[in-house]
Amino acid sequence: MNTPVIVTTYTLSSGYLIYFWQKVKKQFNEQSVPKIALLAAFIFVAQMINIPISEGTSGHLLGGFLAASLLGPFASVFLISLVLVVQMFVFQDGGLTALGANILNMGIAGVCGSYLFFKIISKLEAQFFQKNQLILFNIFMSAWLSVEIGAILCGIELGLSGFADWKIVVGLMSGVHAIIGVLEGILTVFIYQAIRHIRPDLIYINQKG
Amino acid sequence: MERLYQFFRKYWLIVFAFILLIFLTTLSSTHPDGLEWTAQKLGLKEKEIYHSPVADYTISEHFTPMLNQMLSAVLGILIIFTIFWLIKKKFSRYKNNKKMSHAT
Repeated sequence: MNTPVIVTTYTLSSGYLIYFWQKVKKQFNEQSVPKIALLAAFIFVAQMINIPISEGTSGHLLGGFLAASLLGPFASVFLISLVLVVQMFVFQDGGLTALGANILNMGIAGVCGSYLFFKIISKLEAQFFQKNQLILFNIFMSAWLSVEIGAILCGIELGLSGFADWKIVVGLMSGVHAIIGVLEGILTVFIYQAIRHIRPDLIYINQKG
Repeated sequence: MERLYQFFRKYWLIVFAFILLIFLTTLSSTHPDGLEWTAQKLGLKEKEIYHSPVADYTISEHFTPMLNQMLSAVLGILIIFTIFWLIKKKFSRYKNNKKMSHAT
């Protein structure tokens, strides 16, 4: 990444994080902090598990929409950013200069974009169906989209930095992450269903979206 | 001892899930992930300006990759719990000082 892109991504993500911190502070209480901590630890470990996909590549769970479905968008952005910061400073997964872009792509854009998509698609379906039978499909699509948004943004940022033609980078990134997104979607649906059966009180999103 | 037993009785499922996940990290694929794959295709290189203590989930060169993965997972979980423990501590002080209740 070149300097303008680094500065822009850092400015944008820190601005958003300060805004979300104001929102999320109100959510913190004796019950919610252990819940958020557990989910953060879970997502951290889940991101370590790379599942092989064809053509010598692999993917892992990002957990952006999973977090949003359990905690709501504000706490999720904060949580994902925290996981990314720990990964970067302790395990050097993603560099210091890329941290701003990572938080922007996977944290802010991925989580908020997919959450908004889920809200909109649920509202639209509510017009046609009495009960929301399609909630699992919506979760799958939102989780897929959360990966895809991050990948496309990352491609654009790499292109803007001038390393390669941005059309090629965006094409490759969105292509490979379209497959990884399917994995993310399936895992998110399974984990959502499991939690819904064991502890339905932990779910944030409801049938109406 | 009694408290520990109570803790496990209440949270055995969570403890079990984390132990399972920590073991699962050892099965993690060594294939490059989506971004690394793209970078390889285009011949992009990372430039290192910061070197972290536990780079690439390798705690010690002498350990096997599997042990390194597991220890890294445990270390990461501990770090994240510590951060949230600090947040919780800060939050309770904030709440007591200002006599504000955000509890819903």
